Amino acid sequence: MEVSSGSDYTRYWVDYFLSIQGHELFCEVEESYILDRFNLTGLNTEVEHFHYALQLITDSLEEEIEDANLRHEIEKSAVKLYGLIHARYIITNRGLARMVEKFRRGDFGKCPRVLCQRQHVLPVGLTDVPFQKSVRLYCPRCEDIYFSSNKKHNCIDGAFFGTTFPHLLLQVYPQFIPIRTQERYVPKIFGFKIHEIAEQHRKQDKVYEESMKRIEAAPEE
Amino acid sequence: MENIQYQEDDPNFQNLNDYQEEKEEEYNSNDSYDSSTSTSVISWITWYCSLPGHEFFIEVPEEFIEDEFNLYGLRTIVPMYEEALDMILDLDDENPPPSTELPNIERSAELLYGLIHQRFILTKLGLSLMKLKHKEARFGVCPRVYCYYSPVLPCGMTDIPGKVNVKLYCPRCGDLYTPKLKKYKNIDGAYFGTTFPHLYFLTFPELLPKNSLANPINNELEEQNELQENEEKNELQENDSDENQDKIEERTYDIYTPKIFGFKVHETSQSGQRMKWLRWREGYKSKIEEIKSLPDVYSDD
Ligand SMILES: [Zn+2]
Ligand SMILES: [Zn+2]
Repeated sequence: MEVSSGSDYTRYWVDYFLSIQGHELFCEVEESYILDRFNLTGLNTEVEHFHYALQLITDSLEEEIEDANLRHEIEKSAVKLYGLIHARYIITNRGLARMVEKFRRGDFGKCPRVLCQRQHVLPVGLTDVPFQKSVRLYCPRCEDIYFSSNKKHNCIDGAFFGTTFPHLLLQVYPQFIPIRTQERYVPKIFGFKIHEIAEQHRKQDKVYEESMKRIEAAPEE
Repeated sequence: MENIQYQEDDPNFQNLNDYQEEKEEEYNSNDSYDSSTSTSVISWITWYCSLPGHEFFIEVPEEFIEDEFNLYGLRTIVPMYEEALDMILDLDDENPPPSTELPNIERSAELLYGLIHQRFILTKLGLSLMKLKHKEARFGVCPRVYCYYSPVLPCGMTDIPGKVNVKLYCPRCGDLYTPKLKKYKNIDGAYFGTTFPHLYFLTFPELLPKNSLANPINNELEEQNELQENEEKNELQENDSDENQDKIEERTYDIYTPKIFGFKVHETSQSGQRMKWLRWREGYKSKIEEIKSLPDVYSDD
């Protein structure tokens, strides 16, 4: 596989993959990362036609695949392989740096919650096992997860981002943690609060106060 | 390269976007069917409510508008009130206003209809007409993952027109969301008002989802119900599994927990959870982990 390494050329497969609508959630995984076998440990057993798939995503498929079925299988495997490599890459320092740039630009979208005031969100998986759940969006302001308003995102696998990614990103880049307030929506009927909801809100406030007490009592790191 | 398509084995795959759009398509196709079969020219109200982006509106009956009492106070808010009212009711004026005034009258008619709509949907009839739409999730569903596609209702953030566009209220999490489709961006929230969704659930409490903010989890009652249901199940044997699934789903209430490599991000760390209170509610028990850390301060009331 010494074909086309190191030279200055277009990455056909990766460029194509990233150009698909909805795939703006993905970042470009550096080729050197993909070519380092150490980073792919275990994926050869998880991805069918691993070697063909790897050749395909690095534009180094040596033989012409005649069988249309097989070609289709390989293409599917290539997506899975890139996705799983992506999930690993975005929690490395270099991957986080690329993703934080996309986060800052708002490539992942905005929180639909009104009080979050168009806070930029981060993609997150509900599981690290592929082909279980599609990607969701994590809002660091309300700390909740949402469906994407972009229909195209509903067929993007959440495991290609993983459960850890947004939280690790915020831990590494704490300057991107938004100010979290106690602001909340208060339903009213003709200007009057609703008794049951007001009571729940009071209890929520107690939960908040208790948690703040615990945080303040905790020893400084 | 062949276009790669991969299917996902996600039970929630039939997602809110498709759902809402399907409903809308259905709705629109019904509309065109109706208009093609009717021979008369459609009324201004029917036309207005069928415009793209106006899907949240219901048709206010002319009798309601003709009753001066219902329009009390609007004359001072709406410019060209008489002309606007005539337009809404399709009344031909003997001395039609100059055509240059038409755009202004149209704008006034829209404002007047919106304000009448705000009042009408708070009446018994208005509420029940909105109920038909809500039950079909015509207003969409909550984008929050753990609200499990709870149908939402349109809601204003102020009753004064021209301030804020329409938002969506989810009874399950008790929060407000921005509609996802761009066409709702220019719909005035005041045309639905701040009171509507809350009066709606006061009127139809049976439509409040279980485990919603105004209908918190009563664990004792839940357990009793479960026992009772199990007994009934044993008697009936042939039970509808789908229905049971729905019931379980309805009871589920979850709060998202951020994790790094499977471990909960510690509360005291800078990136730790600070907003759990927002989704917290009485009787909440996570299926995944009991929240032992919760203070026991509520037992003394
Ligand atoms: Zn948010
Ligand atoms: Zn909700």
